[in-house]
Amino acid sequence: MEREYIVVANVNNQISVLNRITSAYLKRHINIESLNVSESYIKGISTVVISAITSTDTVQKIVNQLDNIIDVYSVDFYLPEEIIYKELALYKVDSRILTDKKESAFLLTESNGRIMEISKEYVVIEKSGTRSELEKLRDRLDIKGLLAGYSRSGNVVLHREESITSILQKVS
Amino acid sequence: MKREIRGTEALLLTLLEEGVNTVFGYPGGTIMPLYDELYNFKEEINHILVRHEQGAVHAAEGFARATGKVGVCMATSGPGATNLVTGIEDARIDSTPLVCVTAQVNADKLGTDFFQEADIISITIPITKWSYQITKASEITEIISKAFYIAASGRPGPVLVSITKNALIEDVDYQYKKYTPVNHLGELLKKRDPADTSEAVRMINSAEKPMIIAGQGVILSGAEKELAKLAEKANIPVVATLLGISAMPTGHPLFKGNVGMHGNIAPNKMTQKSDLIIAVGMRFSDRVTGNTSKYAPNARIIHIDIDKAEFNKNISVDLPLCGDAREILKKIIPNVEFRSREEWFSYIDQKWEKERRVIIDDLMRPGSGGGISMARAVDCVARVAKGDAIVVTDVGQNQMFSARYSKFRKTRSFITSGGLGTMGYGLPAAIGAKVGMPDKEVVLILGDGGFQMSIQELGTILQSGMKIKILLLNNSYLGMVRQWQQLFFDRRYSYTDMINPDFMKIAQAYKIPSRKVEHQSELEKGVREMIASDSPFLLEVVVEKEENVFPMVPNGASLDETIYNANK
Repeated sequence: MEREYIVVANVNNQISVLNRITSAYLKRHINIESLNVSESYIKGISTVVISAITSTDTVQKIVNQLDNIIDVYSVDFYLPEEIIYKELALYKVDSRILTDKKESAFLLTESNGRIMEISKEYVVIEKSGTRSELEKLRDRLDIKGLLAGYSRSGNVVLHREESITSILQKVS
Repeated sequence: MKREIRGTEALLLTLLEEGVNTVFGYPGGTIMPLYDELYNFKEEINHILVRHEQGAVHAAEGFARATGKVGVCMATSGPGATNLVTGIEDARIDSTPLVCVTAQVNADKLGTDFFQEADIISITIPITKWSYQITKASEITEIISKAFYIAASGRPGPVLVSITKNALIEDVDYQYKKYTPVNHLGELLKKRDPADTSEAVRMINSAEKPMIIAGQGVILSGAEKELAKLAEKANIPVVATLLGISAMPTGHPLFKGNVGMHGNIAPNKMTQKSDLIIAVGMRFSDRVTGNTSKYAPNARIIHIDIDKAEFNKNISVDLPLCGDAREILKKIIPNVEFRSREEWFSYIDQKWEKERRVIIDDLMRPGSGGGISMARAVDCVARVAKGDAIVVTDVGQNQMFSARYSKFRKTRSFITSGGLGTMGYGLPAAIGAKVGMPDKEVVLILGDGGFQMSIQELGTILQSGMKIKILLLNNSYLGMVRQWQQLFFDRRYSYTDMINPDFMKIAQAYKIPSRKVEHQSELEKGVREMIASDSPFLLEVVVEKEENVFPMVPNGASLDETIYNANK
């Protein structure tokens, strides 16, 4: 069965590692739905988080191949429910929303949105959440004709149990 | 002690420290500073000037496969680098250790479409085990040493190092330090814990119809002796994959032939009947398994491999054992027990009897009227060279006949392009093998198609004087494609017939002694002349035009569905 799998890799922060990782997906003709690279709390080691729709069997094979990349220290895959993950979205919303009490209450209290910037025409709202939460709000604003722009980050994740240092001991 | 030298000298000194004495290459604009430095190293480094960069990388592959060392090739930026691509992928898929050094434009010109700039790092990402672009001379020594470590360790593979011109000509404080793998904290990496083999021993001792499939991993880990020991101690028949050929002498009583699409009947039938397959250093390629859903229906499988990405990739296995094949076999051997397995061996004998009856006897019968069979030509080389030659092949029918009818006594004696099936591989790979093993007889067996894909390398033989024996099996067809057209495309021979040049004149132009054989009666004499020759030699054998390689398991069919002749 195909579903979303999140691959988390801790890699040497070096040119071309990212291309090697994405190349393993390209080779199997799998589209990457979201991708985030950021430095971990250990200097020189970045965490790459990739989400893609595929099968367990395929994601296992991809992870095995990623593990062979010299500059990948550790890599594993997870179902979304197995890890803590969040994305951040920015919404450019028509400033009319500020005069609509019901909508602005929904946006700022129920949805936990935060105003970043206000201009005459637009309000920029920031919100974090799972992708479906972020997309739900996007769709609501869109239907009401209030959405003028939308941008979403990739996943940032933390594993519930393991720590990076414990999984970085790659054997030779 | 540190001393200040140019980047080019640092590079060559590092190569020497890594044990390199042979390099295959081709100069060009950007790499000129390095070639200028090579001029100072003529005593220490034997640079073989090929005629095309693809020849350099295939020669480096042949060198690596014959010697077990890392093969080294170098090329200039742009087209020089891109011409290496086919050979790099060939080396990746066949686990051949290579270090490819390519020059690159100045670091400050990167990305400007400078003359002869190609982004070779991006181009080779999916086909290298590792790659690195050096932009400062101070990186050269560490990166080159690391490249050799990575190419040769674990599952070997190709590494590409691209060096910008400024790094080649800058001065640097040179100090060699051998690369050692460390983790992110700079600590030495732990050795892998040896795999637990107790379950494997239990499985082997309780099996009635076990078989060992030997892949190239046996050769790469130097486990030939252990392979034979395990087979002898537990009395288990051994078969080989295409790249596993010569891991066990073909004359060993427990060696039962080759598996796969054009393998022998017995090994393929054994696979389907066996209750335990011990797969050592092989990757269950589709050419070995046929239809994977019908593969080895009765067997439990122990898979020994150093690359855990191979486990359950093509075939799901019962017991994966990750690690060096030699180490793992060593642990298994003391605990296995001898069983006579008379029924199992008698089954294997029957299948061999069938192979002789329906395939071999016909091919080997003298004076059977038709043209010369490729099988007879290969068999003749095997008899005359007495199994002591390194046989290098190209790709196609010549390769399959060579695999089926060659005889080997020593390991690393069969050099062929397996996974990628690269036509044009044979001639340069034979050059590399001969340079690496100058005292061994190297016989190159190829077809008229593959010969013309790298025929320019005859110039390399002319210039370097290597005594390579070339057996050209000429049917004026792209024979393997023609065979498939005959069997699966209703004899529609679409662009497979070849109008060829006069190969005798070509040999003459390159000052290579030659002979053309057109009748069976002259075959053995021709082969003897070739093997006895004290110079390079081209023996052209005009073979039967429409001969097919049989038996054959058609693409995607199960190993039970072997065809034995063109009438199926």
